[in-house]
Amino acid sequence: MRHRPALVLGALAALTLVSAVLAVGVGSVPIPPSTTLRFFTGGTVDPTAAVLLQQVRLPRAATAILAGVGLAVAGLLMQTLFANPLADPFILGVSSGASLGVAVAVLGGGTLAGGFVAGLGLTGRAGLVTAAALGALAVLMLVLLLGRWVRSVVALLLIGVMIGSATTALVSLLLAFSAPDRIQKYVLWGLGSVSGTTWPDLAFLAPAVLVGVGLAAWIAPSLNAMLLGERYAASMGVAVGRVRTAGIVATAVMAGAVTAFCGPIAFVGIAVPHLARLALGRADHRWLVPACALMGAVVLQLCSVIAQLPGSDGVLPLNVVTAAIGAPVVIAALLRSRTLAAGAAA
Amino acid sequence: MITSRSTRRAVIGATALIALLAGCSSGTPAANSSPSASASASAGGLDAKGCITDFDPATDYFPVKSQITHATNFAISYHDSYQVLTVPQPTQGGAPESYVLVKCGAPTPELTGDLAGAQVITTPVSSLYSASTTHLPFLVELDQLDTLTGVGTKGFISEKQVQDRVAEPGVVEFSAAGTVDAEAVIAGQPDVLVTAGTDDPGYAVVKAAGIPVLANADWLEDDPLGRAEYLKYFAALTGTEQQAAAAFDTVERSYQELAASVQDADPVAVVPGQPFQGTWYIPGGKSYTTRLIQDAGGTTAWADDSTSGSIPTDLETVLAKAGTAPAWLASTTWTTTAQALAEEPRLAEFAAMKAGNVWNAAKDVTADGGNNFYELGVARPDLVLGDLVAILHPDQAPNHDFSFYLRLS
Repeated sequence: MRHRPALVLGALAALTLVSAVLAVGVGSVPIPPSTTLRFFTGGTVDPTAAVLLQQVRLPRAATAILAGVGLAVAGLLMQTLFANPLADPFILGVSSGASLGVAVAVLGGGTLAGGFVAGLGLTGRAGLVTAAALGALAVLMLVLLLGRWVRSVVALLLIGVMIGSATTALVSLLLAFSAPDRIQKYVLWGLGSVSGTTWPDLAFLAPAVLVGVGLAAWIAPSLNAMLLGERYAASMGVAVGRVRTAGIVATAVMAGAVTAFCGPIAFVGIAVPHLARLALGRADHRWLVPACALMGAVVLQLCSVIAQLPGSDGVLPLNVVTAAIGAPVVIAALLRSRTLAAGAAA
Repeated sequence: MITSRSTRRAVIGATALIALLAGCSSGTPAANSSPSASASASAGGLDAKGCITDFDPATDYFPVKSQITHATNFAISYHDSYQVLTVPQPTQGGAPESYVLVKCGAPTPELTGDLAGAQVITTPVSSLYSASTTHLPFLVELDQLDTLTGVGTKGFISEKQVQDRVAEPGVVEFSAAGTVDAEAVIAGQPDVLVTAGTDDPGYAVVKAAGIPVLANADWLEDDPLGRAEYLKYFAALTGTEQQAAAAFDTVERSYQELAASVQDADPVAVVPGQPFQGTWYIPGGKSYTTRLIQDAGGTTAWADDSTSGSIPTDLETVLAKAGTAPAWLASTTWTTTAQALAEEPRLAEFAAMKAGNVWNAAKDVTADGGNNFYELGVARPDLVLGDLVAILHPDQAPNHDFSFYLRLS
């Protein structure tokens, strides 16, 4: 079993490629594989198919990869830093902050904050993304500011949850006073989507995810020591404060960027790290970070393909697919795993 | 107010078709096109308010009876001194409800069988709370705006006349935060509250306090004229059957004439709706919106679909199926193509966008987001159809004065 991690990573890399081919080749509109192949080898294809592949499917597949990588790695960081198997990328209030930003932009057209976003000259999609990013940043800053006064990670975790709840209440208040068509926009945003992003969006999303993964890889060896507790890690010579800050910054950048462009995508951030640990059979972060990244990319691409309901006109909300298909898979994997008995699933 | 010159011109050659349409919608056009007047009610004696002063069980107190020809989600039956208003679906999929509308001055009938336990309302009502802006144009048309003493949310109202009315002291806003404020309703003691065809926990409390809550799920009607026919629902509450019949006949005739004027034209393909965050809701083939598009001489790629609601789909599907459609009918906040492209740059790939033929139902919108398309447009589908015909067949109505739609600039 000494080679297991390498084998798992190899298999995941192959799966990432397969799912990418699926994500580009399959959609609600049937495009023959020969056409797709001709398009990618530089041949001429029907203009509609070209637009679909170039402007719709490629950005969608790329977004699914980036969002999957970002959320899975961020989830891993949070679970390790907070020593909590239920932690996810949104535990520090990133998604509730982004929700508030979007709610203000979409629902509170006449409010001061809505006017601020519009005043930046950002309307339409750019305004929405900016509002989400600003909201996420504001709430995260508040959590971290309060976190400066608390020593334990548990207190920080609770502060994050409390501020998240308060933010959600503000969103509910805005919802209560809004016209139904605006509420629908907000609800749609909350269902998560990798279909709304375009090439210019990816120019922001890709660097954010790369920076986050880079940071995660950098602190991976220290994270292994953190698994045994912060005091133990400190005694091993790990700069606990610096690792924690790097982990939180990496999570904030990745989860914030993904949520700004795709809405709050559920499940991937919490479940993929568990699946990756089960697949690797160990909790070594030097293997876990790349395994989470690849598995996140595979899972979110496959969910995105299923959400397109290939061959039909209809689509499903992405979060319906991630949760409805993902949750049973994780439960089954946990139940079948021998590590469950040892309580090492976390 | 209701007739339109261009409509009349367009319609001269189509009289035979109209007769045919009228014949299709009902077996006896003559009986339906005007209210049937039966025995005179003078025998009973009525006061100035229309209340019975000297009840006579043998008298028919409803000499003018509404005929419902298009709407399927409400029905009225007449029983000399009271009416029974039945709503098959008070909310989507809800169990049927009947209401007993007793003419004031008449004794409450003994309610048995299906009517046992039914809510009893004394008509004509003098104070009415309305949960939906779609009700308001009907009250204006029937000249009964002074009965309106409560609305769900004042900010969503588009029509100036109604805005002025609800600004008067004493007109209550009972659902400003989306949920019904039962206390406000009970304190206001209206004769009746008419719902928007949705349920709310507050309604049970209001009913328990003895205030009748009548369901009005006009949004479940797929036929545009069916929604307009809710004029007769409010006529039953306010005792204005005569005015309602005349006004509805005019709307119906105007709508059918417009539809007939483009019936033989080649249907124009339409891009319906708009995407948001990658999801694009398309009106189903049996929906209200598709019906309007078809009656206006248009079609969508989803016309053969059997859904009456909307279908969630994506940009990919719509681009493949409607990318070459020459016209686009959106219903969102856009007023310029720049706004549309800022929301989704890939919309530039659509032929209708390239041709600058994108229209949006956002001409008549209030600062709070109320859109008269969803208010007056429901009561006046002929005005909506007039806009759509002018968009899809500009040659038919060259100088059309648009009510709800604007072309993105």
